[in-house]
Amino acid sequence: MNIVETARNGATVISLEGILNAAAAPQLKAHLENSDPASPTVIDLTNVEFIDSSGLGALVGFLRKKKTGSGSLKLANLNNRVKRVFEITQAYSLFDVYDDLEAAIGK
Amino acid sequence: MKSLFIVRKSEHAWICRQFSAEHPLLVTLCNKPFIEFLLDFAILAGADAIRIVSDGQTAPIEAYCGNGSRWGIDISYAHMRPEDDRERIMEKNSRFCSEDRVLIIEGVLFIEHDKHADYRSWLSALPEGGIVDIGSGSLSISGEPTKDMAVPFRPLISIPAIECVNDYFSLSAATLGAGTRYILPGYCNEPDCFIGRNVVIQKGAEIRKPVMIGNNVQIMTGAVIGPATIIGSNVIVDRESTVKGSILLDNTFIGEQLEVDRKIGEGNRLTDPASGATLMMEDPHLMSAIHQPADASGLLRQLVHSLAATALVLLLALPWLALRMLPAGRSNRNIIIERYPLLFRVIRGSMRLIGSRGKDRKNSETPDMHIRQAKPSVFGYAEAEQWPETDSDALIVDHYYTRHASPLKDIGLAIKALINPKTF
Repeated sequence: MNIVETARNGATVISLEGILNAAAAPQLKAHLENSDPASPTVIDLTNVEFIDSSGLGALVGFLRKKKTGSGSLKLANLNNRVKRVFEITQAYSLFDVYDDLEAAIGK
Repeated sequence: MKSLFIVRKSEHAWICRQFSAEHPLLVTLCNKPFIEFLLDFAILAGADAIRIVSDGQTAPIEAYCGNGSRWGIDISYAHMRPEDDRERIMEKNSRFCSEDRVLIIEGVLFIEHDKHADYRSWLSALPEGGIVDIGSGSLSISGEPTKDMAVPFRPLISIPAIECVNDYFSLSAATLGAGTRYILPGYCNEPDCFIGRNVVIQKGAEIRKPVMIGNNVQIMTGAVIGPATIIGSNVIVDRESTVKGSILLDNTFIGEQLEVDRKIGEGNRLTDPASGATLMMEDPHLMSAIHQPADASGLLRQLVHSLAATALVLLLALPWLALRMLPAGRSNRNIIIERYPLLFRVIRGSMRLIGSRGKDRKNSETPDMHIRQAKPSVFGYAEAEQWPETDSDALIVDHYYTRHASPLKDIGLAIKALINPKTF
């Protein structure tokens, strides 16, 4: 899985590419561990083809860390397959999900 | 123009309790789901793309509406959080809402309209802002008017409050009475009479207008249907029964010589709309639900779970082997003692071996029918996989498995359960 981190408008944008499954989740977790828990973060899922419960667990863990540190986490551009996993697990009630990366980052 | 439907599950909680439909918007009014009336109105208003945003499950709606090709429009789906207000929802859907006028239908189940009226021109000229607001629902429009012209005469448009079962009952009668204003299902050879497909009306049965009858309905000899009656699909009204001023929802059997007057019947449940009182009929000869046949994969899954549970019962019946020889036995004696009796329920078919734990399902308020209707299990999926450890995360993966389970996956997990030292 490719993970690219950039800073835009005071927010950290983490762009993921590939499949977010049990094999990729530790890599994502390791990357997110270094993130500042107080900073606003947007995860761009445009190029995530698939996510399973392990990947979702990594995102939920990161969200928990953000809430503890008074930061914020938004997700942007979920494709239908990823949306379906969020739907089934009701994880949508935990995350702020945007259909546009720019809107998630904020002007 | 585009249209945004905002559906909050808290506003329609009473509908989920009253009706067995998978989603509040799939509850039928005159044999047509609420969502279709909203789609009809949005299409009459000129919408070519519709997004349904909800803080609950959208899967049942998606399964019914698909991508909207049936109506010649694009339908997409999105989620929001319960605390999101309209501005926040617009922001979260900014890609959908940008560069176009958006008709926002919020918290509304039904909009009274007239299929002959010209809503397109009226809405095109209408300035940005609210149109109708009744507290429990509102209709508004965003974006600049597309036409620089005077606002034409306002066509028929109103939002009736549907806050209890009596509102639903009254609205059904009113909609049937004003059938020419709406697109209603069924053949309509004469006014106020809508008949569906595969309807058998036996000799001596009497049909009194206004009436609507769904698909696959049998009305036996001597039965009287109507006036002001709506019969759903897959319904049988046995001989010499009378159904007047009532609504029989899908999959209902009405026994012989029964009189149903100003009631709502669904399965074996009879509701008096005026008082809201509900009567569950225990005698299947009076009134009962017509069940759909079970699918083969369900039987296969049941077999897999029963066989695995039998193997476990035999294995764990030897305390020496279970509690001393197996490493799991030494560390998890309490689990084995607590759950051992439950294995017999798996063999009987009232529980699953692995799936979603009973306590988690009880705490879950999911409207997802797959999860609500799934049998409770002895061991959670997360527990069998030994991941994750926290309750909320475990619930997520349990739900994931409940929706994705198949006989093949069950076999794999049953084998895993037999050798999993932590679980057993």
